Amino acid sequence: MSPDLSTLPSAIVALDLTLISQGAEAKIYFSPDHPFIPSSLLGGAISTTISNPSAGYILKYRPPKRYRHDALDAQLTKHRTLSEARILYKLFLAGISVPSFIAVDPRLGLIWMENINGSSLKEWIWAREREIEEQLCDEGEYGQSQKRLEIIKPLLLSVGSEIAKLHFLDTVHGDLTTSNLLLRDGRRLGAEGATGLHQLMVPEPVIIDFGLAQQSTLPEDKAVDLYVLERAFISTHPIHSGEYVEWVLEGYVAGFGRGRKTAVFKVNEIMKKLDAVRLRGRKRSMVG
Amino acid sequence: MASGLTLRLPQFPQSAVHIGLYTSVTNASIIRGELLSGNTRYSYAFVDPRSVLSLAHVLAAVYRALTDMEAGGMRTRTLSSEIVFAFGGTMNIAESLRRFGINDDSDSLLVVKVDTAQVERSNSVWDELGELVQGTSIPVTDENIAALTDVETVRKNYKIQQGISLADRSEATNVISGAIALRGYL
Repeated sequence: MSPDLSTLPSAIVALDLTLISQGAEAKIYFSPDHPFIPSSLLGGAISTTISNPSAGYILKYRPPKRYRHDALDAQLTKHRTLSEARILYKLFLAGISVPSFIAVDPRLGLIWMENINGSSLKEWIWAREREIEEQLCDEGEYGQSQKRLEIIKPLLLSVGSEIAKLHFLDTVHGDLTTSNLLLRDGRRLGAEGATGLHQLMVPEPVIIDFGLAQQSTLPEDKAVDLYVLERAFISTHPIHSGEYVEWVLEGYVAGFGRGRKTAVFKVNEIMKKLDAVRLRGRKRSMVG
Repeated sequence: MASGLTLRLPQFPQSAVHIGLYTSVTNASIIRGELLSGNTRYSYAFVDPRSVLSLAHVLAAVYRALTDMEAGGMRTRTLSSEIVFAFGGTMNIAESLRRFGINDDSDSLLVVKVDTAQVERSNSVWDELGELVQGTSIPVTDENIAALTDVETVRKNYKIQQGISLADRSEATNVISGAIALRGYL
């Protein structure tokens, strides 16, 4: 039994859990079983199940940190766990694409949520870029860039739009990277008769990992959120990040508040702040 | 003799969760009286099915009550009353017991009994319940539960705004299960 799991009740440890990711703060486990709906009922007799049962479930666990003072650690774990759970639930109520919240145990630092079967945005873009390069290596740069426009842009527009919904609710993610944007299967892209990539689905973006999320009305905080994503693109997709960021922001501006008047003002404020944040950034010299 | 559903929650494999569903109940006020006077023969969670959407909904409440019990954080005196309280989205115990528990005019009942690991059962839970409830036992399925749901009562009891639709039972179960999990924390 790994040292972290040993602090959990034996019943939880007995579940079929597979560690799939580990951060500084929490461990993410996959479970094929729902925490309180027995598998005999899921998808069979029970017609009103929560989420998509075949994708499984995620247990996010914040283990106690022995290097912290006990009382403080307990309080931090409880607070952060609850904060994340609350945000997940509220975003779901507001219709934002996030994993379904299932259950929480703040004392133990556990959150149960639906698992999203799908690659991250990072992996998806890499895969599409590879495909485009392989299939159109003869056509040169123009052909490839057209393909990117056709295939990648629509997805990034919808990513921008989803983030805009989040910000419109005065919630900032806190760690927006292309690894925290997962894609689950969505509608089909392209008509029949298109090129070899015609069968491609435009997946639905799902925002995950609200462990660092907070409520904020400040345009500055939202701009920083966007800037973090921009830096993530530059880091993981250096060649075309300019285009990609432009498309995400285009989707963001278009999707913010769905074009209502007050929203247009707000989003302009955020964009202005984003310019300012870019100037500040890391390794930026303020020397004229 | 018709019986209900017995299952085990994945996180509590040692505890048996028994769920029964009764229609044409005639002695609701008697049961309620016995409950109020603390008759231990009636240590079951009697829930009015009008506020229940689905099996998953019931299990969400049972799960909340069990995890609270494990953590030593129950707010009511017994696991049975905690289960009824767990259906509610607020910290007001009396209000939740009134809204979701048995009423004098309840003509159908959803009954939950959890046998934790230490319990040794000599009689079948369905036999025992058969003696307590004057009504017709029907199979515990989502279809049967759905037939007894009163969506407006659900909306009222959970204070769900008109903007959120409860038409899709799966979605609605999601909404309510989240509220149950976050009771006291929202």
